[in-house]
Amino acid sequence: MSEVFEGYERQYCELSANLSRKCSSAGLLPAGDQKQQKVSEIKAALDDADVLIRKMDLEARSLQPSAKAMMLAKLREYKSDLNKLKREFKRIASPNADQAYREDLLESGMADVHLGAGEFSNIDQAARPASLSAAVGLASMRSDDNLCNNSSHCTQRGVVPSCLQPFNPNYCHMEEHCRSKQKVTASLEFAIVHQPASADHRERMTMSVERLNHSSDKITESRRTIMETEELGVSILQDLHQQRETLLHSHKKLHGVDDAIDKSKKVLTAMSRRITRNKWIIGSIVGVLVVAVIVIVSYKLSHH
Amino acid sequence: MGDQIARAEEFDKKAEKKLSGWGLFGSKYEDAADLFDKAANSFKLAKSWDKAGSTYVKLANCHLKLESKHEAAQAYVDAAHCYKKTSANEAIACLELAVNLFCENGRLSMAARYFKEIAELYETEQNIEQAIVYFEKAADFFQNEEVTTSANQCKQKVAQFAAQLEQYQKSIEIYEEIARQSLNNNLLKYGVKGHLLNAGICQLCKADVVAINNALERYQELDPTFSGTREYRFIADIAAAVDEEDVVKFTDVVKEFDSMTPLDSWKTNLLLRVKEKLKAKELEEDDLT
Repeated sequence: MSEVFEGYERQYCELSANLSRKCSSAGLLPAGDQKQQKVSEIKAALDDADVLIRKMDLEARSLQPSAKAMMLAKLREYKSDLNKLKREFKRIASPNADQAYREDLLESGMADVHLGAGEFSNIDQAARPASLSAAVGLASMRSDDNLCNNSSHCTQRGVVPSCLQPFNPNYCHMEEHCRSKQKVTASLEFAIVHQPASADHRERMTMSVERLNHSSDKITESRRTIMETEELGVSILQDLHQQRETLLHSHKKLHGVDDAIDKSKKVLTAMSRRITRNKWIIGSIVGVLVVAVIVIVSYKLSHH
Repeated sequence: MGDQIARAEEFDKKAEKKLSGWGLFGSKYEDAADLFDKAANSFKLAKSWDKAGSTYVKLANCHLKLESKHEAAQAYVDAAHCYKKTSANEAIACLELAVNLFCENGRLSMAARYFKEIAELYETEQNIEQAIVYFEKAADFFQNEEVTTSANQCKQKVAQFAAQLEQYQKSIEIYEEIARQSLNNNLLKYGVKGHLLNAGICQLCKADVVAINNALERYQELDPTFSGTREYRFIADIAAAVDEEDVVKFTDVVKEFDSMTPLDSWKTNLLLRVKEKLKAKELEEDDLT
């Protein structure tokens, strides 16, 4: 399967080379239609690169651990590469240098968080700054005027205002709060709530949430099976105990039977002895009687 | 099976003739018994259980006259097995006769086994009080013969039925006794938590909150691992729900436990009773306020 991975790798390399060229050329251009055109081109290319990275990720995870480690390392490199390109692109696309820097700052916090979360590290960073901060506002509530605005909207997870004023945030607070929510699901929901530039990402996120739910269902199912098996084991042990008692009982009985057989053997030998003795006595008496009869008959005959 | 019936009838008639006539050497009872045996066998093959049962009873009479009680008892048992298929009452009568004979003979373990059978027959007839009586007798006899597992099984049934009849104290004692005995045995100790769970449910049905908590402590002393089990948590949660008289919480706890291990009908009955009591108490309180 690593040929697939290598195939993807090659594609990605091509794409990133292309992108870097386009970025540099677009940066030199003055603002205008041409620039916009280039920007959109670069955007498309970035999306492709995203898709490729995700595919490579899945590929790498499905392989053996030895190859997996190597490929994951490569993958991480590519991801950081891509992030750099994206940042460049944003700098080009965004009209304001300040905003670009702000995004850089915030984005780096996000990126660290999300790199650990597998494929979700490719959350579209090329979002508008306003909506980014709006979503961040989910994690932290500040009593700032604009933030109040944001927070009231953002407390409802599903609702994000489509347009928000850029405001004067305290970046550090946001970043803190950002980093504090390092759970995968939190970042997922952030990404979903976040007005994504592509529905593709939202799709991916919902898919992964589904997968998580699915696996937790599986876990409860297996737990249930384990309980059943345990009960079964307990009843088997009880049966075994009963059989053990039966066996011990029959063992004792057999010893009793053994003794009884010995006794009966003695009785039988005594009987047979008695019988032979009686036979001899009778035989001898018969013999004596026969002799007596012969003697008397012979007397009688000799007297005549 | 017509020919079987015909053969059986033939044997039967021959045997009756032997009995009524005067045989030589006084062997008529043995011959008659032999013929009765064959007849009953044929009846069984022909599946006419009543006739087979009655023939076995006649056979038993012959054996009694021959003073061989063991054979007679065995014949009664066979008769009972035949009657089981048709009418349970006759079967029970035969089994009782058999059991008496076994007792006289000193074969107590067989007597115990047949007591258990009688009790099971009563159970199928839903005559629970009689069933309890006989299960107790069986448990006693088994205990005398040191066959503790069967004794425990019979006692468990007693406790089950007692709880159904609302004699909770009795069943609690029995379950605790069984749990104590099972602890020492390597094979049985995994079943202890099941017994303690049953005892706990009976405690709940008694609806005495202080007693429940005491009992839970006692069980923990008995078996240190019990407090880590799901069963213990289940009972503790239910006790808390009963304390707070919160029916919703009660249902939640029960549902959660049920989702892991499905509750059998006995437990569901008892828990339903507890729930009814709880609801009644709630309504009562509402009435007062």
